[in-house]
Amino acid sequence: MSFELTSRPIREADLLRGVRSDEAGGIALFLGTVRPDRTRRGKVRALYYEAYRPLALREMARLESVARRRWKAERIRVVHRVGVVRVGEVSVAVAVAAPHRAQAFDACRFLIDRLKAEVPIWKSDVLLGERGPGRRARSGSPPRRRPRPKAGRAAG
Amino acid sequence: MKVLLFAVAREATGGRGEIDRPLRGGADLSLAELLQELGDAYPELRRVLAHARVAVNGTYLGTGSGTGRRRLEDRDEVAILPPYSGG
Repeated sequence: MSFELTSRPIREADLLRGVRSDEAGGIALFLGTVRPDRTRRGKVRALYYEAYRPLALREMARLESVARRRWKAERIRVVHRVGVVRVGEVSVAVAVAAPHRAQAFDACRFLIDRLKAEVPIWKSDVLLGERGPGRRARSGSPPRRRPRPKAGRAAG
Repeated sequence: MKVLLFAVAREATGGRGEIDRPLRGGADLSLAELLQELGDAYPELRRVLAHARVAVNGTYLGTGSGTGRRRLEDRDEVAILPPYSGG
């Protein structure tokens, strides 16, 4: 499995070592880091990430198999943090080795874009606001298609 | 039966991330009925449910018209999944 959910700091050098291959002429690495955003409730000092692990692992495996097929990606490593991640730390890393640089870039871009939209992971702001530390979930964009049943009144 | 609630869905229940909903003695409950029951118990959750995906035992439910009629069993795990915000 080349996808990992971890509560430990991400070591990008380990990811790069993990995807090195004689067959691959290009390696692309994306790192997502936590910004010190300001919200109406206060300044963000960290993000808290949670995941629905069984489905996250399955969805990421599906995306990786697409990347392997479409861009001939030789080796892929994706790591996402769960738990508290402080401002400046890496929250997600995607490393792809492919025969040529265009394939490596495209596959890397595909994986991070689709991870954000299709893998069940959520962030909450950990604030240092006027009323002390707090946590508030950030909502993502609703999926374009909504694979859920009619919920009667609950959907109102 | 176990209901898992994440992120804004959990906040809408006042912080309950896991709800036990026993189905004993041949009790019969459809997914649509469960969602309605949750919306009745936690009115703030209704707004979340309108945009949430639902998975049963770690698998998304399809969009077929019969999905809401799916019968639930006591060993099922239903997950309420608001729009994702990872990355």
